[in-house]
Amino acid sequence: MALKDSLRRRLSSTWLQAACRLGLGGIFIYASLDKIAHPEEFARIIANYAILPDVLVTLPALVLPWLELIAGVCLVVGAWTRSAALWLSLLLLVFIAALGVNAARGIDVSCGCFSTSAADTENAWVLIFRDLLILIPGLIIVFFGREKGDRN
Amino acid sequence: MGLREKNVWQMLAMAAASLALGVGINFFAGEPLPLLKALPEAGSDMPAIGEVDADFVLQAGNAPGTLLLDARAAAAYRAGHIPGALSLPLADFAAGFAALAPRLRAAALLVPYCSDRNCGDSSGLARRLWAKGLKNLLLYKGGMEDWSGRGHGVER
Repeated sequence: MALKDSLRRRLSSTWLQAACRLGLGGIFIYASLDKIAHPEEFARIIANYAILPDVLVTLPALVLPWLELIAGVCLVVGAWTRSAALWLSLLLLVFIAALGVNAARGIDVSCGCFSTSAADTENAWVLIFRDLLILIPGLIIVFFGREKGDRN
Repeated sequence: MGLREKNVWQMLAMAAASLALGVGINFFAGEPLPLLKALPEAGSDMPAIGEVDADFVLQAGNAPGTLLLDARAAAAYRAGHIPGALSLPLADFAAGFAALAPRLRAAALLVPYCSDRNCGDSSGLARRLWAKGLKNLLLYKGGMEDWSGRGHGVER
């Protein structure tokens, strides 16, 4: 019981929470910029994942990068942190699922993670592992972050 | 974790703002993407375009107004390319095009090439350029293999 309490205290410590916010927020802000600048390239990358029907490719290509940017900025400035971390964690789960589908198919697609360059192609399992690592700070904020109005 | 109604509203607000920004900016963009339609294949309306051979490239390749475009990956370009050619990797088209756009638009003739007769990047690059309105195109299909096979100089 004491161990559990001390772990919980550490995970919700101000320093760790701030590090998670800045890290996760910064990663997503950076990741969003090139995609916002080049929506058509990003749409083609999404189409290349061959998961969504072609007619449904444009909308996520236009909207997702802004969601990444807005949630990232929220985390960095410390506003709506749990909601923002929850969004980014959900997005990461979607990315992991999408990469997983193509890893299972055995094809390496261009990631579209940090750039819209089709040259940015890596083994899908490596990318899944990277996304899982990035998911950790997201979950730490969602489950152990403290917001105004929380009970202690 | 204390997820509460307010978090749901905040998440919806973020999604709504993203939707408004993404769709709104697209609406005012120079070339807006079609929202609920498949993206047209870039340059799918390009007709069969003419080809040139090594002799043409040798004589006209560096004439004023002609630009040779290396469609291969940047590493392949660095390892050796036709003298005077610019690197415009198909895989990195958006960034490369943005950087070279003024020179491309000023050129009278664009000649893309890639590694050999069977590579598709040069015609892919031609289609992307065509879609951008650059239609003064001729392909050097033989590419790097044909060029160096004929003993012509390679620039590094």
